[in-house]
Amino acid sequence: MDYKRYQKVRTLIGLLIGVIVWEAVIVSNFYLAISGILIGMLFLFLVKNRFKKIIVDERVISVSGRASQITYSIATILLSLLGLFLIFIAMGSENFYLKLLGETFCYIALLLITIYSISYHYFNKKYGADE
Amino acid sequence: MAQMNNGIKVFRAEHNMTQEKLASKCGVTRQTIIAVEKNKYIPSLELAFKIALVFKQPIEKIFNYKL
Repeated sequence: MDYKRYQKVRTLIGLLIGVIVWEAVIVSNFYLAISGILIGMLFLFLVKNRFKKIIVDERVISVSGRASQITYSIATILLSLLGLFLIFIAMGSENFYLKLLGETFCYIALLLITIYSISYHYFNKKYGADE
Repeated sequence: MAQMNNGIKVFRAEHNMTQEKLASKCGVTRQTIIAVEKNKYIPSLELAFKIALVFKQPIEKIFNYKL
């Protein structure tokens, strides 16, 4: 299997997982969503095993690192702002769910910051910055 | 501004080697070799040494750094 074919198969599996999860959300079937994701992951694993060539190297890791950093920054800021905005809106109205949603967004942002800090310190120590 | 140049393309031509073959010898993807050749990606010291070893040349002959 060459790289282009591998990419096509991977995209196809991703699309299929998306369709299954979408369908599961529409019919409100939790088990369908979970089984769709698990089967998709299994197929991705099998396809990756059949593809013998190197697909992850230092450049890919460097690109992923930068992309993750940007994603983290954007997601954290957006979630925090949206959460605060919803909480402020909820203060003026009687809508309980709006406040709950805002708090959930803020907690997710906090969780992201916590995970980032822990992983940052772990890798910082791993790569020799402990002195 | 600092600038990093390399002669990978020339050495590849001298050794009659494809990007794919160099990539597999260095244990990286072809896309990485393309990026290094075009000076879009500065390789790690390890990869630079691997490339130098493949061409049996000193590292400074393949890569040069200008301030």
